[in-house]
Amino acid sequence: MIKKMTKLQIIGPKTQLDECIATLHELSVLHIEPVSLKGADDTITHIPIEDEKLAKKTVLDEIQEKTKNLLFMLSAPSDPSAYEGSENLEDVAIEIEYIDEKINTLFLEKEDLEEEVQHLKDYETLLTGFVPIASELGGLKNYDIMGLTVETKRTNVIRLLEKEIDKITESQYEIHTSPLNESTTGVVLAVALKNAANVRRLFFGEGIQELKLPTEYEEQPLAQAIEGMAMRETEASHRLVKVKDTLNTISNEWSRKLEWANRQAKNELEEIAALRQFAQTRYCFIIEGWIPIDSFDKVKKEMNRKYGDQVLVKEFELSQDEVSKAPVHIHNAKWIRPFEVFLKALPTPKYGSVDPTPLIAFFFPAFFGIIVGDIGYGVIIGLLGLFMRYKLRDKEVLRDLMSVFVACGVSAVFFGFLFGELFGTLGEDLNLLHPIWFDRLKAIKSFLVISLGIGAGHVLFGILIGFYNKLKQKHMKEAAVKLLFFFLTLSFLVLMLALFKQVPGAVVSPVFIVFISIFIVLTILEGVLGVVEFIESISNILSYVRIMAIGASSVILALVANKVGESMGNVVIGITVAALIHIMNIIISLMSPTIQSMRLQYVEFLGKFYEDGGKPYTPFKK
Amino acid sequence: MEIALKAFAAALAVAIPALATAWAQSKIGSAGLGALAERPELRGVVIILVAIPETMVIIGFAVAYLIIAS
Repeated sequence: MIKKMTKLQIIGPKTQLDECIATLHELSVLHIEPVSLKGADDTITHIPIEDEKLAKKTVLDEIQEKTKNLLFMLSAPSDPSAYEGSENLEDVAIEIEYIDEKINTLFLEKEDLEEEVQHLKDYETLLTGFVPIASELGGLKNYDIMGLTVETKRTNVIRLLEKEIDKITESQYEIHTSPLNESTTGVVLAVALKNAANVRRLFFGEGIQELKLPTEYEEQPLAQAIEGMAMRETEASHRLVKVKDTLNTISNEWSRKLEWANRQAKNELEEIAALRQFAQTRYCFIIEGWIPIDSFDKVKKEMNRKYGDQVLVKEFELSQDEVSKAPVHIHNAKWIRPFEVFLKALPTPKYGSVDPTPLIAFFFPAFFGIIVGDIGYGVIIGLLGLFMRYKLRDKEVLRDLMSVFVACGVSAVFFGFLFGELFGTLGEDLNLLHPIWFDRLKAIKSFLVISLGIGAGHVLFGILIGFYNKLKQKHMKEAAVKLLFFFLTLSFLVLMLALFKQVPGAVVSPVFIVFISIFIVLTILEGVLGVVEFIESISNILSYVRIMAIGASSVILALVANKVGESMGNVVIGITVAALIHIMNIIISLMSPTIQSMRLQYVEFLGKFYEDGGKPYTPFKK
Repeated sequence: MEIALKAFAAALAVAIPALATAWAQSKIGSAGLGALAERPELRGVVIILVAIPETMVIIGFAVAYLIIAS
């Protein structure tokens, strides 16, 4: 739901401005609104940022930047708890200055050593494979050795290159390739000295970077160079371990403190930046902003406790137009919250409109369940969702998405019971289950009618919410139009049912008169757009046929899996083949029903009432 | 003959919207990928846009079923 907000004004003596800002920052509920000076006299001005504050800002910026860089260089500390320091930030900054140079030096050394060890390893792999070729050439006196690296997926480049080199050197070359790691292949090339310059020109022309042999080994015989490189690699690796150990020790001692300093600097910078949005008179400051209405007492109590009568906290009396400018704070029950992920693809809803999250939390898994409708598939999707939710617990959006899949799995199990499906018809074949509601394979016509019925209900419900939205915003004409749309669509549906003889004949004439009357009124009120919107509503309802279409194809594919499995003749092969087709169907079930169900929410349902144009609630918080 | 005509009509009811859907999705898909390269946060909207023309083939499928079942 979208929380009710209230706008408040805080007025107090300028001497207590800094403490007041700190208190509001601590309370973490105020969405600051810049104080408007429109219509105010000269006695009220914006608060200028004094030189002292600007100097402090420069220092804080430096601390923030430096701590951020240092934290990047250090690994995570062994103790993950947050450091709660009581010391002065300026004192900690002096300590940071002392450690800064040490960490920088060690980090650079670590990077150099890592690069050197990697290079030496690459060369060793390449050159060791090249030794037999070198002896075939009878030493390397008359040859120039060049090294290259190529992405493994682009090794066809080597063949093309070899063709060119063959032309340039008149076949006086030797080439050796060897994989260096998963993605890179190394190439060593020996060409006659007289052709070396031309080959290098070719590399330059093609934009190929040559791998340079470390200078100290360039003049040495191959075997000696390999030996020397191996020794240096061991030496560098040992030093690397030591450097990493030292950095880890520093990290355990400093990381938490650096994080604290970074957080403190960020908080203080935010407090300075907030000043620009406030106003002042000669002796007082004025702060304005929005808070959730249920936090008002808490804010008032805390300000009273700290500042007594000196600071005044009062609520604004707002007009309907001003209220509509309130920031939008969406707050739902814990189990509904993962479904807020669907709103992330949409602009923020308008303040005062209906938050669709609880409705999506019901309808999305329900539609998914009706489409998949299989106990086996539901259990697998649910368990997969649970497992991935655990794996992705640190990534908020993906974790929420996985929670949605868990709900979808549960819904698929529920509808699986109603349709009597366990891996298609397997449950029924084994006499474990029977359709309670209807058999999706045999009663496709019923499935089609039920899908359209669901569509009619969903779209009409959407139009009713649209009516409620407009009524709440006191836009009476638009509310009336929504209500007329509701009855126009409803009367049209009744007439359609009459066409199939599903309603008593006596109803037709009055409903037809209602339909025509509303149609004329709507055309007068809304013009051509009204007609277009009516046709759109009908096509929206027809669009729910997809529930039947995708659902039927899912159950038919499951049936195919079982039939193909049965026809294999061998139990093991049969089960394997059936399982593979079921897995494929589950993968399709993860994609298609998700997209179709999502589309039904976004286009057909939300299109009837969702109003964007709100600004998100961003409280001033630590 | 009637059965053959019905089958042919049902096939057309699926095939023509399927071609139309494919054409529309190819246009939306390529434009969508272009938009995603600039603004990756539009992923959700692009998926929905790509799914929109599917209505044609899905309704075609329902019509085909009604032709065969009639």
